[in-house]
Amino acid sequence: MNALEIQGLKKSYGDGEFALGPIDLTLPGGCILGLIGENGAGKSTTIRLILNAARRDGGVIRVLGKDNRENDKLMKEEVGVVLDEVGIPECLTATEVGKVMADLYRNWQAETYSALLRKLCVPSGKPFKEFSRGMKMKLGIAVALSHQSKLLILDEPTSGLDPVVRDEVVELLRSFVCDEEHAILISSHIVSDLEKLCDYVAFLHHGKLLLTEEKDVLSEEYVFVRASGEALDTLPREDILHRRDNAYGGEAIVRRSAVPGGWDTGRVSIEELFVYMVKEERI
Amino acid sequence: MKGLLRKDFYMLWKCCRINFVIILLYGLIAASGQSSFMSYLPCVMAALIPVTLLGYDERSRWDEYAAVLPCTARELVGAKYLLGLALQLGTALYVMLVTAAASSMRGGLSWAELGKFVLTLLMISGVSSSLCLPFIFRYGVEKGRVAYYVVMVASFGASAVAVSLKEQGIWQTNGEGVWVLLPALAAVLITAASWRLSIRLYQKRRGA
Repeated sequence: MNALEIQGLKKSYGDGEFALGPIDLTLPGGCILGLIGENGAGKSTTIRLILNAARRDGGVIRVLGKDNRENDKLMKEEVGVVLDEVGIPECLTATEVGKVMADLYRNWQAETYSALLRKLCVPSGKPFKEFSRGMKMKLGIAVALSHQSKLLILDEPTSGLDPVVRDEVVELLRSFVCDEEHAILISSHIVSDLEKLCDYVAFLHHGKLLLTEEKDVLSEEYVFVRASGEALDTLPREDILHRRDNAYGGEAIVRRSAVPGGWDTGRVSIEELFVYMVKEERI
Repeated sequence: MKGLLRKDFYMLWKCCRINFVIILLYGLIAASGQSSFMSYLPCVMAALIPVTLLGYDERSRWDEYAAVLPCTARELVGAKYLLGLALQLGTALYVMLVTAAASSMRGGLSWAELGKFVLTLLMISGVSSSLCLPFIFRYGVEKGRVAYYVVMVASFGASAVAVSLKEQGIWQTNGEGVWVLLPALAAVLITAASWRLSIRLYQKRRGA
């Protein structure tokens, strides 16, 4: 079963000042989908629409096989969410947060929560306002993983975290997707983090979905080419994603199928692909 | 709902202790009988504590987080109304007890008069929060603050008018019961309408 299916999702704000969509996305069970986009691209709006925290203008959203508006409360029981600012009241301690959540979630697992707090070294008696950003994020993740959630949705979970905490978070998320029952949708503008973690990536730019593809397929599809300007001129224009000429020749990101054998090629990172695709859009 | 009330209870205990100290002090001043006007303040203050809590919620972005938790707008609004009503009832009970103690020491305790006085307290405080909360739920504490101040001033004004009418003998609270029960019924209806309206406005604000 797909953990998430989005078809023709649309939303606009104001007098069309910002229009999201149409967006089509599928997140299969057991996978991690990275929603990549610059600030204001529509990542958080997409997440709000998935969670039924905003009204969509059109399209269909199916979460764990059901329309997300069918049973809002049941859907939220099965989806663990970590927001950019987490949102836990500043004066509450981790222990108190656990008690509040135990009253809110039917499937709350107090032992799992305590074990996660210990594992992530989150202090249980310290008020939330005294936590570092990394600690706040870890507490948010501990909550999201303690109510038998099947789908985890994380909005910019790694921004502002130091490399050690980022690595811990990435490890924890990997262990969550251990079977086909679980899946993760993670949004970020830090592409390198998603590159390490995701099975699928979706590029969002100014509310439009530029592409959605399996990460490995995407990495295979494009290559980085170094050649003389004349040689690059022989390549079909529609297969060149980006080209930069310099005094020694040129560099380009090109569809692998268009590159003749024997050329000097290299791997393209997801970050480079995203940046160049966005630049192409601007042109 | 239980989780939301528990969260608000923790926040009350940690962030609003000064409000309770002031309420206790005002209650004692009211009981001393030096100012009838002061008698109304503790309940109005208690009624507006949910607004303070909503301010803390917004600052910590709890309102955004709550939108993705398994709780409905009805429950989120209901928790604040229930808490406000509980605080008003508790404060009214406290004011009644200290006033009864002080009156009995002075030798002029009338339970019927005290009952009507407490009912008037609850009417003023209940209407105060009922007028204020829909604006706060629709526009947030920052923008809804104007409504908060208007209601605060109006509540104190109403309290002053109530005291003045009573002192001049125009409002005979020890006369016909209907003159107390009718406004009480109106206050209950206003609270119920405000509760419903707040749910709708909050749903609209969340865009869900």
